[in-house]
Amino acid sequence: MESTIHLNLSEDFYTLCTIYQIKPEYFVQKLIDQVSLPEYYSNPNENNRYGTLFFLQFIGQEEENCDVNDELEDHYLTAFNDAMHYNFDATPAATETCLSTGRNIMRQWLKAVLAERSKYLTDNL
Amino acid sequence: MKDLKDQPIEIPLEFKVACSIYKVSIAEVLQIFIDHVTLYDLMDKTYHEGFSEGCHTLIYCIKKKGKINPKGRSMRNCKDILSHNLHEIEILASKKKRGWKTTTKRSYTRCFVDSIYNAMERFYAPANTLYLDEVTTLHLNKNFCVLCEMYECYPKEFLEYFMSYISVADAHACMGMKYKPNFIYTFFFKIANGFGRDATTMIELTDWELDFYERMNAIRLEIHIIRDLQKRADVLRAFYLTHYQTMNSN
Repeated sequence: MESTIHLNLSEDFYTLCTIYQIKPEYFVQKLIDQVSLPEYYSNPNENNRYGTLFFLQFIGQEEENCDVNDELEDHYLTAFNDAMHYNFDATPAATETCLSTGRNIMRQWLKAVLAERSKYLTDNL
Repeated sequence: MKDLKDQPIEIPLEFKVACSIYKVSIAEVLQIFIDHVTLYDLMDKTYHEGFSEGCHTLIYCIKKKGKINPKGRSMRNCKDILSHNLHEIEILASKKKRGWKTTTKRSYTRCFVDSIYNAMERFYAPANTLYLDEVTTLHLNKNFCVLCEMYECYPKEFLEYFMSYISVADAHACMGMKYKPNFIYTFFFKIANGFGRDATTMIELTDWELDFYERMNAIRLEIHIIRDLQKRADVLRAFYLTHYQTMNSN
């Protein structure tokens, strides 16, 4: 899925990008690629974990600005957690299963959220 | 009940873990707690950082014991002195006069506390020094001693009650949930951050500790997917305990 975004580059970020010759959109893309609950929890020790940690910290801090359905969040995160259950014996095969199960749960969560949000449209039919 | 006096203070494991994580000494935290409990703040209804928390801890502990009305056998011979001086402190606490700061008012109560202190008999806090272990002592000020005698509580009971509510795991488990840590933990956290402390000394951390604090930050975020408060706390508790045991393995 693609999305066009408009960003204000801060001075410090702009300076760094210019010095290291990094395109801001490339940087943002790389960061986005890292943000994944299934990937993080199926193998928490991997190097590209910082994107997800940043996201988790972000939703912790911006709690008031996030409008999330608590019931669905509790339900699906609990299911997610049960499926992951701290994948400590991270054999490649186990990681793979974990990853796909986790991603499946996230898809179901999204589906449930969208259904919930469009409920007002279908309710009065 | 008499035996309680001679028993050593029991320090809960969770409290030891908390002090170890935030690198504060157990005696220092307890001393700050003792120093922030005063008769004046027990009666002053406005919030004063540290003092209000300290006094509320005391009130809850007394309520738990079921002794809300102070009488106490220590005061049997000085009931008039007690009620007179308490009344004076109460007047001072409720008095609002321009230019009167709380610290000034609190210091004015010293003579009233002294009168009670000198008149009462001492059963519950017979000495001003309390031994935490063979080498560490706590100083019990007059305010604290008077309160112990008034409410018939041993210093040990107040201190143990205070410590029993401090758990880093439980407090961190609340983050990102609808819950808030209890006020006693909040008080502890203030102390850990330097409140009432001489925090000018630099802390040196080993590589192992640095790794721990990095992992601690990550794990606090990771538990986002655990929605049960108790389960969250358990995960954190196990993690913090391992740290404590490694730090104090010898």
